[in-house]
Amino acid sequence: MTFFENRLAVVGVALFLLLAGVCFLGPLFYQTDQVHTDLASVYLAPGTAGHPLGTDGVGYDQLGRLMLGGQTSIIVGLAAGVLATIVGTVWGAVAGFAGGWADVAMMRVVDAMMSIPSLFLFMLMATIVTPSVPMLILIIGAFAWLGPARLVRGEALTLRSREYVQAMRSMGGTSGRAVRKHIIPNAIGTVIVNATFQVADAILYVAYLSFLGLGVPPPAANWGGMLSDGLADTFSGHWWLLYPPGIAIILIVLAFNFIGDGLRDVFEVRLRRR
Amino acid sequence: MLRYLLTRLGQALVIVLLVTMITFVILHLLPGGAARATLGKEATLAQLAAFDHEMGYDKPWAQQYAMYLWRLVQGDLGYSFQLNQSVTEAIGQRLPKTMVLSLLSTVLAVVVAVPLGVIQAVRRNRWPDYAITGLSLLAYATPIFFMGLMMIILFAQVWPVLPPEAPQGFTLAEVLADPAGLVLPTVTLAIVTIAVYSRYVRSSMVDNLNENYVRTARGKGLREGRVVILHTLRNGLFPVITLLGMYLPALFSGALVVESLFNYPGMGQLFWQAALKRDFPILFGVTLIVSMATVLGALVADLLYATVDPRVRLRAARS
Amino acid sequence: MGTRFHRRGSYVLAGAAALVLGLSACSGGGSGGPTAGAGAGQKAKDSVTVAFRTPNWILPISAPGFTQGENAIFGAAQYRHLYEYKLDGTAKDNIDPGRSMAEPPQVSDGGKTLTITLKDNAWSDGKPVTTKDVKFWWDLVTANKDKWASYREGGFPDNIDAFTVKDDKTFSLTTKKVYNAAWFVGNQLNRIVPLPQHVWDSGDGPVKVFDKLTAAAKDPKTYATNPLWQVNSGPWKLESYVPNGEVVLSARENYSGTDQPKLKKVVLRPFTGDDAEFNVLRAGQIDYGYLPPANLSQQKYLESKDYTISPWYGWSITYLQLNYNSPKSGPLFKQPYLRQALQMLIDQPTISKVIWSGMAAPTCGPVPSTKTCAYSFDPARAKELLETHGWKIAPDGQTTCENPAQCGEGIAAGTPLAFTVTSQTGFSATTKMFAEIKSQMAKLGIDLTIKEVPDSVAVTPMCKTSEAKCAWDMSFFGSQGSWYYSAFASGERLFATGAPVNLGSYSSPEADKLIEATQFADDAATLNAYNDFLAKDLPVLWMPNPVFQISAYKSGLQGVDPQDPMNGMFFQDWSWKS
Repeated sequence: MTFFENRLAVVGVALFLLLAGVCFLGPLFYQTDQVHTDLASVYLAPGTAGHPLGTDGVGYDQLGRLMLGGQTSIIVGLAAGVLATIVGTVWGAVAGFAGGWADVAMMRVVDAMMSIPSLFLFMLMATIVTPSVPMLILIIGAFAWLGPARLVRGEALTLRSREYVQAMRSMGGTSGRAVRKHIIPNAIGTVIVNATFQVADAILYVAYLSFLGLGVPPPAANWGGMLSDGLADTFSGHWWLLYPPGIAIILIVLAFNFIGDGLRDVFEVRLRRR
Repeated sequence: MLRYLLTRLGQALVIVLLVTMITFVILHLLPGGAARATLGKEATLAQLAAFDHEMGYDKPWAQQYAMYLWRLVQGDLGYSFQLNQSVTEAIGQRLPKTMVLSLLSTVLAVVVAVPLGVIQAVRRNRWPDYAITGLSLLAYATPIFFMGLMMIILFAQVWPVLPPEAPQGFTLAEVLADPAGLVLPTVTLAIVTIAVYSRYVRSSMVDNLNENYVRTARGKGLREGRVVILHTLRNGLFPVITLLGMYLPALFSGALVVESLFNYPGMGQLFWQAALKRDFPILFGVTLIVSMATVLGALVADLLYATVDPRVRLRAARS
Repeated sequence: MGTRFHRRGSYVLAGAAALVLGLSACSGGGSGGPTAGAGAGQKAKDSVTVAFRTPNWILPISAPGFTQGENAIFGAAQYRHLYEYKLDGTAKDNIDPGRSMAEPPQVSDGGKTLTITLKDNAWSDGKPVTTKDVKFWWDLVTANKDKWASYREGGFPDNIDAFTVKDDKTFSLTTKKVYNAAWFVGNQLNRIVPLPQHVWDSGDGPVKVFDKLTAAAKDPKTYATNPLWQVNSGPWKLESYVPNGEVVLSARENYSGTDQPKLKKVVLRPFTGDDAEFNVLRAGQIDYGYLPPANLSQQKYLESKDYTISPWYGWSITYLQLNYNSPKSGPLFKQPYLRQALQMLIDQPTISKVIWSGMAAPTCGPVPSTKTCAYSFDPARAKELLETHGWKIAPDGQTTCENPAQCGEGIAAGTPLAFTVTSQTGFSATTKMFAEIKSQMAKLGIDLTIKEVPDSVAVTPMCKTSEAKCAWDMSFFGSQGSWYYSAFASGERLFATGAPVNLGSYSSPEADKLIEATQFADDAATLNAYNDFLAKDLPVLWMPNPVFQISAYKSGLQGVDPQDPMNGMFFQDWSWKS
């Protein structure tokens, strides 16, 4: 089955393109002031002239803010997902291929970090560093690589035992060369599929961090932060501050999951995840 | 088997030791230190120094770590200045509450997820499979605090049948005496878990349906339903045991959010408050206990799995 | 009394339950639960349930780290202070004659000796309160001053030459210098708490005794049972105590003060957060609680449920600390025109009204009662100030110094106006407030970076320019981090050169002189002179000062108002309307 025969995958790609298009291209057509607050027009209801989705507690236009927040969420998600995948792939491949004590040591580190619940780790990290976009990417990337590391190591172990790698060695090839030439390319399917899920998870992590009060400070915004701010605001009937960012997060995470599912079928990799 | 057990136990110990190390390093990267955070901006330098001395923060890192480990071996997790309480006591007050929440939601998740996964596997690539896949992805994609909020709106407001808040009792007995209050937090935590479990059960079942012995059984003319029940279910569900162990950290993460949302004074809340106030002993203690629970959970799951499925033992011995 | 970093849960959390509550208000509050309201009104009530964080320090000598408001109130309920104060201007030096355990001090010896006569009071075991009990307190804090949270270098006991006991009822303090009596009474004598010497003094000397008392105070589970804590001077005794849980105080029948408790019992119930508290308040299950600022729109609903909503104004100021020793920004902050320009970009009245829903008021100077601000919100004037001092304004860009001769000493050409403010995580009003200030500054090309951390105090220490930790520019201590004064609102701890809480190292010889005058010159005008100068000189940037708490109590409960601006709570005054 090719990727585009998978209907959910197509839906996923379309969703992603749509959301990314609105967030990144939207501001070109729908220009709002997301820098200056306007305390004279706070909590305007949707439909107020010039504010189709209303305004928030300091007078920012909510629709424009959604676009801005979406940019952050998508960028952080993609970057953190890719970073985690790269680190995890290298770690796992080295461990799997090196084997022996190096493998044991490297994988115990992974086990140990995995046994601390990720939100606990994130909270510790976030109290150390000041949240900003690059920092969020680093924090999430620094802890989300554990899953890919395990997967790739498993892949590497299987591949290592395969004949051609052994053959290469017997023909005098070096270990490093074997990793580069064979193990990584063979594991690439696993890695790509996993990366897609990593992106989805990273976007969720940003939302959780924001919920815990550790999101990016204003005037920057992200969907997770807007959603958790919305929790406080909706109380007074300001539903437009709550549901739009919530739905946006769900849609983007769904999109990446659909894409990941489609890719999995294409690469025919079996992941232990889900 | 004994050798396997010892190996796994050894690994678990190493992991817990590594956890203490990781936590220790992270906490010591914190700028500013705990003294000022605890004593406030009015504290004099002498008072700050006295605090650091009392808590041992004025010693070199290595020595602090060694002292911490030494006390740990003796079962002493330290004293939380901010709570004026020993860490053991503080955790003892809250751990049972988190355990109740986690246990209830895990049971609920398994009870719901297994039949869902089986249905999906049997009706693979037909509409029930698609529908359940879609729903579980939706559940998975929803931030748990947003999910909890929706539950509150639906079941405590629009159709007000349940309290919007977890039991506020101080003791476990008081908490259990208010089962209605536990419903929403438990269900919220379980929903995401169900999504993960059911997908896992599905793929495990699918694999087993493809295995040779199932084909053989079919060849012998057994009816499909019996094949599924007798052979596949048994083999397909073994891995779920492992999943229970593996999923524990994610469950605790979820509990952290759910506890905050529903105002349930458990481990997650304790940790959160401590993180905001730099209460190092509590942060250490909670991280340690939670990761020990995780490691222990994984260990028990592995051992169970190894007991029921001899293939695992062989594989483990070889690797 | 000092400041509070009193974080009542967090707004992040408040939201969730808040939403719920809002909606249920619409649906008529039909949700289940054992709705009370039951307690009030049926038969004559003689107890009151109060939302109150569990106190965790019982010894009336506060230890560093245990100075939270709940501990002060808990302590004062059981162990009376020698002097209590009221700020309504009716009494000399603000001493509350009814509640105090002694007559106002008699000053002699050219102002150096204060003679104090105790009134007749008794401990709960019947023994009279004598000067021995005061001397015992004095010996303990003198011998253990570094373990006493209220100790300040140069303050009690350092500034005292002699503590003399005349007889059972009279003692005197001789100071090393002549102090302004109002300052001394308001900021030094307020610390004295007579302690039950006959019970606590085991005769091992003040150091050992103090260690023993501290050890006992560090074991909260025994608070209600340890015999040490059973002998009290206050109107209340501890009936039961659960660590992190409920605390019950009961009225003492043989209390010797004039402010006899009218209720039999006070139940202090803690909550995990704002939303939990508010939920229970809505259900009518507590008699006295507070309305989280995020839920202000529920005021009407609560009033319809027979609650009185009463903002509790504190004797406090709120400000943004500037770091004069910052290598980068220090030279900028040292320019008065720049501080004025920055202050003119903070729209205190609008922020108070919109972001704080009216539950805050502008701070205009170091003395809380200052009503008119020297610098009101005026971006045009701020722009002019900067331009006339050699700055090239780039609206929404980066304003830089064009003419260093005009910009001021230590400011090179091309220096950008860019600052980082360290603020506190988790308070939505604080976050919104800085979004607004950042936006105003951006319009003049001043780049304000907001850095939110869980504990801003810990990362913005007082420092020397050469130190690495001195890189911070501005610091805000959170919405609950306002500075709460003792009765006499002088600034020797905040704004004097080298003062302990002068975290930004502000230094002005003129201010030092005026502050000294408030302490040592016996003249009411000194405080005004000091206030006028600092209000204009801007040692810090003045910020909207939120109320201490928005209290909500059952309308039948009398005696709650007026609420003590110094954050005390006197449960003995409370009673139910019959």
